[in-house]
Amino acid sequence: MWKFGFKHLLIISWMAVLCACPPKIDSPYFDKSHLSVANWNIINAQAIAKLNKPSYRIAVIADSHANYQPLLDAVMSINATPDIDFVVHLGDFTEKSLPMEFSYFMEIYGQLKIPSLVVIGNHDAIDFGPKMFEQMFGPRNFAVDLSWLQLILLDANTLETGPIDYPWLEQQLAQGPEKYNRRLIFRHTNYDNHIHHTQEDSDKFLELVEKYQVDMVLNGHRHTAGTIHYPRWISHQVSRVEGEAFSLIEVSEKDLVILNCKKGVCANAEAQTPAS
Amino acid sequence: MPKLKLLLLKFYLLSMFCGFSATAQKNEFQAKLSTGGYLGEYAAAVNFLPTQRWRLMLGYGQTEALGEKIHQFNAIGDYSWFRAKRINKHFAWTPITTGMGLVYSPNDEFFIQSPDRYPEKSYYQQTAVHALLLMGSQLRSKFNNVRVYAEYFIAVTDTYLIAQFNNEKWHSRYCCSSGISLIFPF
Repeated sequence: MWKFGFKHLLIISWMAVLCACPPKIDSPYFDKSHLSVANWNIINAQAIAKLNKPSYRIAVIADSHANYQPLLDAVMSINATPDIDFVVHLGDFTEKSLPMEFSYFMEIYGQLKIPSLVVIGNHDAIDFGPKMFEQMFGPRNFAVDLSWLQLILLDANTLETGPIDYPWLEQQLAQGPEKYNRRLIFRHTNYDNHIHHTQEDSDKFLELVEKYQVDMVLNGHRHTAGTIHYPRWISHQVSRVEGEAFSLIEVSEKDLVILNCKKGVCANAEAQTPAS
Repeated sequence: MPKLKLLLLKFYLLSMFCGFSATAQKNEFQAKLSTGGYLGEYAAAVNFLPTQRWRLMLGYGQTEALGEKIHQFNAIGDYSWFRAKRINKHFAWTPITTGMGLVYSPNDEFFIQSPDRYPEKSYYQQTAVHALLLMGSQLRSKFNNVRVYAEYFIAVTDTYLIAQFNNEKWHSRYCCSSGISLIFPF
């Protein structure tokens, strides 16, 4: 009498695993097979520049960490939303900067049907994270020139990768308001985060934002959405991806509109009063 | 790297001509060379078999990463659910072994407690230790009293299992890693 037992279950599991033909990954600490993606931001920035539009609709997501299913839901939701030109992920797409986490992220993020950019978050910048980020996405500080619009992707993870590269940032911003009508800075940590930034550091950033007339600074990190309208610029914090959440920025030379979207429904972001 | 490859080849040839003659039995020691399966790009280990079914492995693995060498120590315990099936005079097959273990990297990039630049020791979860689950199959060969075993195994890490637990519908093609080993009984 043939009985189904634990050993048969083992054999079936073994056959199933063999059929999946898993790749050879050398180490949990690093593996070359995960580095098939290279210069993602550079290639996608070129694709975005080719759009050459008078206005852009930018979807911004953040802090997906190891929440791969919510990230996939957000990606599908963005794919289903019409007229979005490109996507920016504000960082923290891993939990511990592990090589397989980079791969899990790219498996999903790569399903976007429109160009996309990635900012490095603090969780992506530990261990080999910065090196892997540079290998896969390109420089951690990166500027995108869209004729009238300048996008700056900034590594602001001071505890992990060191101080913000202010000389580089100022060099980018100094290209003059005569060249760009709009300027957006995308960073992971909020500029007034006192764990990552000293008061001096925050003041230096604000000084550059005001001096060079940056229109908007976007950040993630805190997992909740929030918008503050300062007299000369806007600070917008993007929620984590839970519940298909993303922010939609509609930017043209005349207008700058911020929408918070969740489960396919978008509404104007409510502005908070700046703290005195 | 070519030096290591040459060393592995020398070790393999030496073991082929040394003429190991013991049969698989209790308290046996084995040398093991492997690649992949999260044990390292190049890994060497010593197996100890306290019984015919249990096996304890202690080893070292190395992986090249963006110009740096990552070192890791591997400790695995596994169990053979089936006795080795004799195929013919020269070959026997152990269909399935299962194992679990820990790997640890002493490299400075990885940590048990968050380095001093972070506000707390537990600011980030540790990154130096990983748990592994393994499943393998072993082909044993014996020619002129020289025994060499080949093993194909698949490993999954705690990272994937935790992510899988937290993401009901999600699964990844990077869930597992396959590896191969050559085993030389002493």
